[in-house]
Amino acid sequence: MRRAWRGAPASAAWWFLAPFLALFATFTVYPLAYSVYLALRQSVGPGVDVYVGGDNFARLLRDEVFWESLGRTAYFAAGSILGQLPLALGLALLVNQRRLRLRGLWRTMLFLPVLVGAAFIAVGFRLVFGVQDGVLNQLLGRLGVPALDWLRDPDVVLNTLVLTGVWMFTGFNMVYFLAGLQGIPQELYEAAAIDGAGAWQRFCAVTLPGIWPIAAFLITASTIGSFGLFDLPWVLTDRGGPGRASTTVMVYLYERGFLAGDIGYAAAMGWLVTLVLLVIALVQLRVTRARAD
Amino acid sequence: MLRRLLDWADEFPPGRVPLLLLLVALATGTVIAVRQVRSGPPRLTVWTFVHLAAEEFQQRLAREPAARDVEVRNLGSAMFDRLALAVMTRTELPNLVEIEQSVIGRYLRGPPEHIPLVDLTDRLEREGWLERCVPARFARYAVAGRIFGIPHDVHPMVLVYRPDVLAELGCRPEELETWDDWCAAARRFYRPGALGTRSWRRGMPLSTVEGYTYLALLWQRGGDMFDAAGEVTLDSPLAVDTLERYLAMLGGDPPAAGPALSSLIEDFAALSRGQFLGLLAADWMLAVMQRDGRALLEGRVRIMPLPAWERGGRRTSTIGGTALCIPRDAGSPDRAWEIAKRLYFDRRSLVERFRTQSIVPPLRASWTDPVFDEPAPFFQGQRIGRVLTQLADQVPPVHGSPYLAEGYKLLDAVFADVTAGRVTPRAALAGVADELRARMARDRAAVARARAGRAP
Repeated sequence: MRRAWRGAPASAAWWFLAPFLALFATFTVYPLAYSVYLALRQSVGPGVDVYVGGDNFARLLRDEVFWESLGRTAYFAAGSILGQLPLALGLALLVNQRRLRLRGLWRTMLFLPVLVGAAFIAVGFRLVFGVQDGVLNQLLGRLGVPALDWLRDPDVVLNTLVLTGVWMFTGFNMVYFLAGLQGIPQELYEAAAIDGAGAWQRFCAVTLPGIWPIAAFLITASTIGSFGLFDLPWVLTDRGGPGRASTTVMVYLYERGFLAGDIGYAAAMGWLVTLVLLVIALVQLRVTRARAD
Repeated sequence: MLRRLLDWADEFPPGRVPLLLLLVALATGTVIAVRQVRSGPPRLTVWTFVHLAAEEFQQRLAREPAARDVEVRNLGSAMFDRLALAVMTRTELPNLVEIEQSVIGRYLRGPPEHIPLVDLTDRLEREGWLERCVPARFARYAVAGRIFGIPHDVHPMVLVYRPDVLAELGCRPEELETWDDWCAAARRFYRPGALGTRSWRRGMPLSTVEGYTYLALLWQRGGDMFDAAGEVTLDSPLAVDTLERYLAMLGGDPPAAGPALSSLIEDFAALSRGQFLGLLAADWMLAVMQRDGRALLEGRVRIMPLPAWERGGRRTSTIGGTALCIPRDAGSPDRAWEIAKRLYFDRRSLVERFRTQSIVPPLRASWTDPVFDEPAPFFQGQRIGRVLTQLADQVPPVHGSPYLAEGYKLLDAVFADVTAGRVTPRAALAGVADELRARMARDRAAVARARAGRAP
């Protein structure tokens, strides 16, 4: 018995790694490999499954609905990044002020939307976005702006999702920026002030470079998160409606895989989206590195 | 002995404490596993996605000592994905499951021998349930003439209207026998105005972005998306003509209908303000109205049969539906069938279902219960149960198809373009039908290849 233990120290690392590796292989490697297998097959109901080679990918490249869904998802991602991140930074700067009263309360309140489930958001925001009696249209009406059909006008609904996304995730991004702001040494601000830098110059020369790594991370994370957008259009706009006006790529993937039962096609879609995300992430990485340099 | 054990533990590379934790984890894991094996799973499980249904089933089964081992689980909307995975992996399958009509198609795809649900046709015929129920309601859950689900409901549609507003127009509901009659009244009722204001008035809301109200009117007229043989009929002359007439209701001068608002509650509010003359509602929507629109509409509305497309024609249609199915690989199909009959054909439960959910059951014998003659104060004392049951046998058959969910989605995808005039009804319906036929052809080819046992 002792020999067995004594022989082990060289492989002690494997003992520590073994549980993780077992779980990783079971829940990550195997499903990934299986999804590659599925992407090369066509299923018809639960009982028929035939090898189709690259046919699913070829069909996907010709599938207008897929590309349109991808375009909508990219629009949401761009809208989210442009809407959420500046707002999150602004809020972080605000709640980072030492003079601000009830700072903890403000931070908590701004973070709270992250904790609300999509189903509750759907119910709540239907009251906000209703065309006839919605709170937003009532407010706009008082300003003389004609009512918009936020949830049923195909030309508007994607912006409704962006707005809701901004409400949901700005507080989350704010927390990251807040951490970044608190990591910037105070001496840098003091030195800049001694050099005669004004508030705007201090922001550009000290704050922005200080939080740039966090901003880069948030841009990438928001992009990836946006491409995984599913629950919001599913519950708020009735499964990506009206028509397909808010169908994101994940909603379309679910529709083909789980409603139509075309699991192989859905798997192929998943891999193509992964590829697109990889390219976007690489481009972002290059741009942010160049900016950092 | 203890000394030797501790020495041995000290030799464990990560140390004595991790070894202790490992042993504790192993011991507790073993205890849990043994307890699970000993207690065993319940002998029969029933899955539903509606909490009211779960309560109804639990109450029904509680009355029966022989059904004490039946477990009813409400899994909410997550049930559909769990069921799909269970069918795919053939693990943790329920013995009975309620499936909504728009998603059952995924289980009816492929050759009949691979359909993962028990074929109930012979049992239903042998025991006479087909005659005792509304036969049209089995069509949704049938493929190639075989039935795979017991219908939960009939869901007859009616028109909910404001009698005082109708009287102001000088109309009586019995005079509105056809859609032409209704549209004439609705056009007199019309007032212009933008959405968001209180000035506009429209006959009733019709969806301009989804196909469900159009389909309800098509079913009323005898058309359908698929025929009994499962072939696509959405581009039939009847379907095209119905869509053209639907657009004429929305776009006439003046229009007889307006766009549906953002939610049912907004539609209810507009009805309560006298901005809609009426609205289409299936039986279950009357319960929703009584629950969510109580403050707005209680004692102010009544129901009437739908106007027919032609004089003497069908006065109702339908929206929605659910079936109870028996997954084939779950085992104990005979016992599941016996429990299914208790849950879906028990008169007392069906009466309670109507009382709590306004849902008309398909079993005709239950309609004689006094509950269907009770006056409903919400509807000015009208006996809505009797109105609904008198229409129930007229409910049109809606043919099921493995491609139904895709058909709905494809129709929805073009519907806004049709109502906006960007595409003609004929072209839109032909596009949907062609896409469905292409998917069906692709699947048939795959089935043929699978049977031949070769790759392309």
